[in-house]
Amino acid sequence: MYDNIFKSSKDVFTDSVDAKDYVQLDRVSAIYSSLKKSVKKPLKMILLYGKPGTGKSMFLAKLYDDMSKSQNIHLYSTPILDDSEFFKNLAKDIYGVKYNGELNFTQFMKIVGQNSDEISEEKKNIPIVLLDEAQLYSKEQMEKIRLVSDTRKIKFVITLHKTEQEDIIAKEHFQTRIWESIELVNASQSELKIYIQKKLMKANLFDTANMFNNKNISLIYKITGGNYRDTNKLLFTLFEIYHWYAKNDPSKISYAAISNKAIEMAALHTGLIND
Amino acid sequence: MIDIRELERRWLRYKIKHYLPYVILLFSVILIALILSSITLSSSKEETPTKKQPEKVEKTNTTNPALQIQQEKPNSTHVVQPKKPQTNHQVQTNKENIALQAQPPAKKQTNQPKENPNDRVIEPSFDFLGKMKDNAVIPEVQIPKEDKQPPNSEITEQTPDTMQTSSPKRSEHSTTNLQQSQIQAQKKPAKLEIRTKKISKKELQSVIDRFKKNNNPALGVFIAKKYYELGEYHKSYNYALITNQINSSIEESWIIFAKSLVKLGRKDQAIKTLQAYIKTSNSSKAQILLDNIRTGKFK
Repeated sequence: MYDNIFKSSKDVFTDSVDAKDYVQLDRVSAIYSSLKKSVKKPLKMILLYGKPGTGKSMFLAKLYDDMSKSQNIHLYSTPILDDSEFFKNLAKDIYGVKYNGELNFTQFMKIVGQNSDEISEEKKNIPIVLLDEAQLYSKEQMEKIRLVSDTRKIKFVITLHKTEQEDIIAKEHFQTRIWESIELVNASQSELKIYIQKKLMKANLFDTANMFNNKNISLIYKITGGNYRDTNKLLFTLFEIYHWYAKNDPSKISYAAISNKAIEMAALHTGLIND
Repeated sequence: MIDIRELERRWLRYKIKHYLPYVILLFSVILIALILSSITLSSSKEETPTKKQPEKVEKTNTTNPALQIQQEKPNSTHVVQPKKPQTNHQVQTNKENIALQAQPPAKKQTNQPKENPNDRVIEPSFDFLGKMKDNAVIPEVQIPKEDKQPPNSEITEQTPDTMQTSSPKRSEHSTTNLQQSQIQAQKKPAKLEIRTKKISKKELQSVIDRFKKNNNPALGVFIAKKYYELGEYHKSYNYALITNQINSSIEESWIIFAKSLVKLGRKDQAIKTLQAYIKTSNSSKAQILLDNIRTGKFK
């Protein structure tokens, strides 16, 4: 029985960007609602930035999931680095224009000019393009995106990793054009506890959710620093270890509480700590 | 698939590594504590024999009068010899009194000869008394010097003491003299014995006279000590008693008093006296003597 519970618990922490897995935390919810409000404002660009694993991709996925029914919104989780391909995709997704052959920036701007008036009248809102991992786009590509956003015909929400280099990109390309920038940070210890428990309870795994005590959470926070991605990685491995014990050596584990030894073992396996 | 057994081993390594600095820290703290305690113990052990030394000397002195004079009263030979022909006794006594009351250290003596050459003539007696009182070993330095120097040169007798502190050259000389004198003192005990005995008796009488006049407790201690060394324990007992009545805080006087009592066969009274004195003074010397009397080391 328990080996199945641990297996299901493990699956909860699979590293994937799915809007269904979005966990509502107070602070995160406040940021999300402010992002939603910002999107409705006549902004050219919104910048979402933060360290890797702070939930930027999840934010975009959630935003897309929430708004896709009522808004012309398009999510590009993986950057399209080829210029022509990027504009062809935009033309097809936003305006339904299929373009054969190479589509350069000038041609794309013409498509935008021809179709934007019709769209605005129909839906009375500007199409939104969500670009994840924008730091991967080239300088030239980012400049073209800026020019598109300057026409106010397409709105962009982009996410950036907050590193020194990416700060420069943000400064060079977006600083004067972005009306709103939102920073995402790691979870606090109490938020992390809620995050873990909510995630498990969402999957009806109440037994495993109750196995976490404050000492466990403190140790997890110490190891991951509140980073959601690292936490997911750690807990995935933790439940994999528990699943193994439940299957092969059940007497060695307690089903009432998570052992710190198992957390440290998981951290060693994932490389979050070194032996 | 995770290799759990391997992971368990890794975890064990990690925990050992994690706690190792704390363990090392703990051991080093324990080690430091052990080293410190052993140092403290060894230093306390070293202190005990040094305190016992003077007693041992006294002990040997009582059994061997020759050694007693060599080690404790060499100065008397220096002082008395030149004093008589050259100085006025009255002036000398007054200066001695001042010197004894102030318990003159070596530094005072170094200044005096520089200021007034006449003082040098008188000073040896201060030095002699002071050193008799304070330390029995130091006078050994002067034994060979007197032998080397002309008998009447009072200034040269005094200057070595003064120069020991002021001039490095002389101090070197005096250290070599110290070694020589120790060797000589060991080699020629009989010769010194005769001379010091004769002189000390004369000196003692003059000190007694002075003591009767001014009741200086330092002189009282000196006389008591002198009589004790001469084996006249009744007299040493009496003078120590008088001294204690004048000034009850002189450690040496109490020790002579207790020793004299033991020599007179009043061991119990000596123990009681020492116990009473230790209570008020916490004297370590007195405590050592008390222990020695109790254990029978001092008879």
